[in-house]
Amino acid sequence: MSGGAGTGRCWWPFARRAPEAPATVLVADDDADIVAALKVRLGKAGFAVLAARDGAEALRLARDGGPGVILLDIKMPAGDGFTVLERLRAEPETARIPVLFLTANPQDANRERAAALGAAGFVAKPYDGVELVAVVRKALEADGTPPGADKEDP
Amino acid sequence: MAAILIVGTDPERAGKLGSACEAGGHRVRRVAPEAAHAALPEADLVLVDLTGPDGGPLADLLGGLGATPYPRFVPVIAVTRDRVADRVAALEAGAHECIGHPFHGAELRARLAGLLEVKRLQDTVVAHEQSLQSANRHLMRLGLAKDEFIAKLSHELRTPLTAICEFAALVLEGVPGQLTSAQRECLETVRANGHHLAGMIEDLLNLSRLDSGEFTLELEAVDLPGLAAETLQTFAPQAQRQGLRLALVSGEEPVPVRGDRRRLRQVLANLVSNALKFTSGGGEVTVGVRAERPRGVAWIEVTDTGRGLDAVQQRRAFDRFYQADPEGHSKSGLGLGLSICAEIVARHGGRIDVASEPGRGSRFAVELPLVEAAAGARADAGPWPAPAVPEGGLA
Repeated sequence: MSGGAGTGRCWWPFARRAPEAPATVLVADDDADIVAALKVRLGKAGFAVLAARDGAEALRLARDGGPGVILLDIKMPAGDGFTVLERLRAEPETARIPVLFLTANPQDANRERAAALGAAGFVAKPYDGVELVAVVRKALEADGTPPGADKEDP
Repeated sequence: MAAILIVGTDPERAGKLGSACEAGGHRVRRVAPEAAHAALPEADLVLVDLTGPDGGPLADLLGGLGATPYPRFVPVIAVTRDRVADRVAALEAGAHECIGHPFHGAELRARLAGLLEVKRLQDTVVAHEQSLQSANRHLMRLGLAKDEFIAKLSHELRTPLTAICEFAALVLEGVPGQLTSAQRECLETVRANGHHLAGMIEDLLNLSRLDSGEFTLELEAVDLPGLAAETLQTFAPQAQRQGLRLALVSGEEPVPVRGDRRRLRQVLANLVSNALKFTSGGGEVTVGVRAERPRGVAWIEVTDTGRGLDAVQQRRAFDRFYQADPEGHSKSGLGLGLSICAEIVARHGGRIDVASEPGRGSRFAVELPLVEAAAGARADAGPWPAPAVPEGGLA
């Protein structure tokens, strides 16, 4: 998606980590079984996984847990996925974390809204595990640098 | 039997008019001009007496009385002196009918009957219209409820299905430990059925989006051979498992169309998936992509060597919920895939068709407007209308 992937990476110091340290994925979903499946899937792919069961917890863990990427459900109690994304973008410390939607509501309207809010990806449930891991990796590589940011911030 | 309102200033003439009406079995009420509007709601028909010296101001009343707002209709008859100019003036002022004074009771009653019949017809039409409107509102509410239900149902079904499919996949990948081949086979069945169910849920949701107008196209330039190659790649493992040859045939030159990449891929995937489903081992599924530049159209043709479709199946192939499956295949789904394809293609300004011979195979052909088909080429571009989608895409 972003033409500048990889070029604007170094200026954002917090996203840099030692190569061996596993990246943390924050998963926000109110369905316990899905959270369990994601923990296994992402754990198997070598990620550390943090789980939030609602929007408020997702925001707290996004601030405190230092996730490299966030997977958001749309329908959640205490702040739906869109609200969470807006709040994340409003705070400097979470504004650049790449966010992916993982949702059972893949309507066009939701896809468009996610894209407009700057989501790094949109995956429909039921998802393909291998594909999901690929999408998460891609988002991590992009490092949360929004398209064009490398041009605006020299 | 109607309620007649008689408006006038001369009690004697009003009395005569009233008696003539009552002789026809109508109910009569006589009022002075200033009380006419207040009495109008109870009247079926109004008689205005313009024969006196004060006919002028009364004529002003006519327009107001004759213009009862739709859907109510109250006919107005003007009683005038028996002169053409007076009659014309009354009609122009808003009367629906005129009668000259002195009048004959029988003629007055005949004119009343004629106008009352017009009113009866009009009232019938209005009643039908209102009942249709109310039925339509009811249907629209039902339609919305149905769409809402399907959207909600789809969400509620997807969530547990996600857990089913993903845990089956994780176990198959050996996460909790190695599987015996019998265990593997059982779980493959769980997973395959999970995916089948997911596909049906997706079809239902697509259908409901198409019906509710929520279905939008994100238009961009799409090169069909590239899209076909991408799509075919995802089917290569399945074709291999089935022992089928799956091939893409396209020339060197690009075949550009303006379309929604995701939707067009959905069309291709559906056609290829069908072709694979109905073709047995050793057979062949070919996807051809080409441009027919003189006509300004692009073609996608999906050809198989499967069991084919008879004439009835071909005719009904794109009908909703129709399943062209003679053996009652239990995995044939909802019968929505091709109808959704046809809708998507139609919204791109194209069309889809099938040719088949039972026992020999089928060919599904999709025709889409080529991007290069500029204004000049359009003239002889054949029977297809311009794309249904405006340049900027749909809201």
